Amino acid sequence: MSILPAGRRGRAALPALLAAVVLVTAACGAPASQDSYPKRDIQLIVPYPAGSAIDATSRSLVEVVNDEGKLGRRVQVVNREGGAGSVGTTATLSAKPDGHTIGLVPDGPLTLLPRTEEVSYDPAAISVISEITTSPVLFVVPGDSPYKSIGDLVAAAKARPGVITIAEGPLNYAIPAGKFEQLTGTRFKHVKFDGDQATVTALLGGNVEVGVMQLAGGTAQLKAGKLRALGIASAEPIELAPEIQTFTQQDVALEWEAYNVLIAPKGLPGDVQRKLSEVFGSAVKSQKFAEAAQKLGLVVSGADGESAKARLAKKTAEAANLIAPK
Amino acid sequence: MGDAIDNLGAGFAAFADPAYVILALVGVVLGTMVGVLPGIGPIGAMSVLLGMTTQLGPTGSLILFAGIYFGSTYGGSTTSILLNVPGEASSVVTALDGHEMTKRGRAGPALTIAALSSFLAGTIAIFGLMMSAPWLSGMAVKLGPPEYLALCVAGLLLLAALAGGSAAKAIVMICAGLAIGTVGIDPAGGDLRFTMGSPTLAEGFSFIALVMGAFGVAEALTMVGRRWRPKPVKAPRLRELLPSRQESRQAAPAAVRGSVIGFLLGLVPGPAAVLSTFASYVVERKISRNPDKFGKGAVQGVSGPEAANNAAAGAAFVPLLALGIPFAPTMALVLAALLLNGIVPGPTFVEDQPDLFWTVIAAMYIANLMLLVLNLPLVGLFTRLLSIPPQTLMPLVIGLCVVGVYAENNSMFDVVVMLVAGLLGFMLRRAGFSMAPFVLAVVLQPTLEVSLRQTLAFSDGNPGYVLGRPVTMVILGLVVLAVIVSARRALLAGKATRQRPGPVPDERTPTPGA
Repeated sequence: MSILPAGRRGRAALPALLAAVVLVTAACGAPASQDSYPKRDIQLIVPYPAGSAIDATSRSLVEVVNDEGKLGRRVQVVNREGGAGSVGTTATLSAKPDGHTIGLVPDGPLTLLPRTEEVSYDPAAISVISEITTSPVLFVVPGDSPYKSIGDLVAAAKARPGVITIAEGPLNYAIPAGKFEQLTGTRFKHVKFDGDQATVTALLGGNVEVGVMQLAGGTAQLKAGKLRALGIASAEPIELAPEIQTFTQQDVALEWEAYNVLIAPKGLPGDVQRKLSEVFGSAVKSQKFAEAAQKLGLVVSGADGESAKARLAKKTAEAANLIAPK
Repeated sequence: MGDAIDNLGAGFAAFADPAYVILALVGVVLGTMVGVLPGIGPIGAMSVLLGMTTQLGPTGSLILFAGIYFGSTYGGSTTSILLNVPGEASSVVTALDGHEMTKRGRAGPALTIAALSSFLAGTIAIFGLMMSAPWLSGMAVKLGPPEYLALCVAGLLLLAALAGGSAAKAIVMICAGLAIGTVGIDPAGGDLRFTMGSPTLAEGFSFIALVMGAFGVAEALTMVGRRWRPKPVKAPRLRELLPSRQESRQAAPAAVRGSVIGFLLGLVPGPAAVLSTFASYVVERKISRNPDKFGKGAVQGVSGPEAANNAAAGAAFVPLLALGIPFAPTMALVLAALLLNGIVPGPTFVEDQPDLFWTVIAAMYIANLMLLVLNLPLVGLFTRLLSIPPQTLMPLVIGLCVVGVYAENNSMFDVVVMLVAGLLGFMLRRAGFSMAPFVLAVVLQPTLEVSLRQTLAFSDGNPGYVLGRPVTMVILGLVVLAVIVSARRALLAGKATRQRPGPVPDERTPTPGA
């Protein structure tokens, strides 16, 4: 227990020390060209830990941006996890609006979380640069389930109100589940699961009858036929899984997607915003990012800042109708 | 079976990467070192290294941790045999006959028998893991929230009931661990709890900081306070290592029995590695034709328990990899390393991550082989570690902990959490509270809570939902049985002071399940 780890630790600490020196130097600021952006490397804050799906998304996107090199500086991914995304979102939105700190965040901390938790930022006071990916919500059943369509499920739920079990979890799943009940006049027995993997396991084991999840959570099992998707809450069937019918096609007007958006604090200078949307917009549309997103089971969006902001506002309003305020 | 061999071949192929070989080597050497040193065990070593696991990746971390884990069970026996100082709680029993053999000039054969028995048991256990984990995973998918709830309750209560020491104190530590575990984000609903408005607490207390504090720092403080320096040992020469024919004949069947006992006990929640050594010792004495030889240098008293603790170590991976539930604090650290890398072990693990699973199995084989090759010639070197005064070694350990925990999140808050946990751990330990139940409770808390809430939601307040699930009832029945047995044992022990193995001079606070 003596010498070895000391050596290993020492080596790990050295880059950290160097990085600290570099950061301090950077913070002191080189007074050089004031008008050219970016003046230094850009920090992209991700409010979830390394290894999470949104972290993987960010890293593959940043890799494309850095390879294309259009910014002249590098973009670095910084993980600031915690508080259901609120820690990283706070860090992003409380930074100086000069474009050197941006964040790739899921919409939850902006649209849903402020309804249920006290957050230290104003979710409306943001600059939205671009919408990166979307993940529509799915209703999934085990492969041997008697329900083949949303219609089957509604009929069964009407016959046995409050008996059919549905696995949901965080607000992005709880809300569409609640909205589905409103729209169809049904009632389910809700059980909270902590994440798509837990839901998939419970579905495979026959411990729950319906699961609310994202495509990314069950791609392999859906392909293998162990799970069946009854409906997807997107406007149109998606390219990744065109065989899954939308809720709207099955006469239930349920649309519910989670988005990953690129944001910055409010008051970003116009030219900085333009530059960022241009650079990240082209990276999102690249072939390389498309492949990464497909692997992760995410739908590439690439919608510009304006329309992304409008969709966030719409979702916030919708959430306001469905969640009791704190 | 053919599949398993193909897959295992692929797992070994991963070792073409020299980085993995080096990691395995580092792991077994480190493991042997902490095994030799009383005061710091595999939990301490793993917790100090936990901060590195994101850089190592999931495969690298598992290889390193498996090496440490197996290494410590080898190393622990060396000092038991030569010095009557068990490096680990799981080698306390080995000291009984192992050190007797040393006194009779049979130290070399005792070490060889211990190493060979460990190797045999490791191989048997890995084979068992290889065969049972995929099969168990297939079954485990069927397990629902009530079963997971029962398993968590079983894991915690059995640790409290069987770990030795005061069960009441263990339960206090479990409650503390569960309470600490609830701070932060609600695992199912996403609400923030007990954060007192502080964003630093939003993700809860850092598990790494807690473990490094409760084990690394607290152990170091305990050791520094204990002026202890054993005399240097003369290690046996290579030529003197070979056991006689008669010794081998007696040792081999005991090692096989020990392996089986260890593997089966390793599958059960609780401090399996320690219990299995006692179980094996008792069995060997019962079936021996001359039980009086036990305690006076019986070979079976070395080979049986040594095989048992190693087999239990291998078996402990089964519930972790197949169910995602750690039954021992060391496995909790392995789980943490996986989680830090974004991998959630569970019933779908073997299917989703076959490469990782088979590489780990291969890593265990290789670690065992390395240990066998390394251990015998290097016995002298490892035992010399004991002459490093703890006053030198332990501040180093604390320094490593501080750097390690800071590097994890670049958070000074985590360092403070660790130091407070270390100080509290040190004081609680002096008061006779063990840290193992605390750490296991922190780790199991999310699973326990989520499965409890899900069970309540499914049942709608109707107990029939739980009563109608046979697996749950079997698990809970076993818990009740174990609690009764241990209560009876405690009563008997109170009535008459019976002859039992130990006490061993300078035995550190045992780390159950380590």
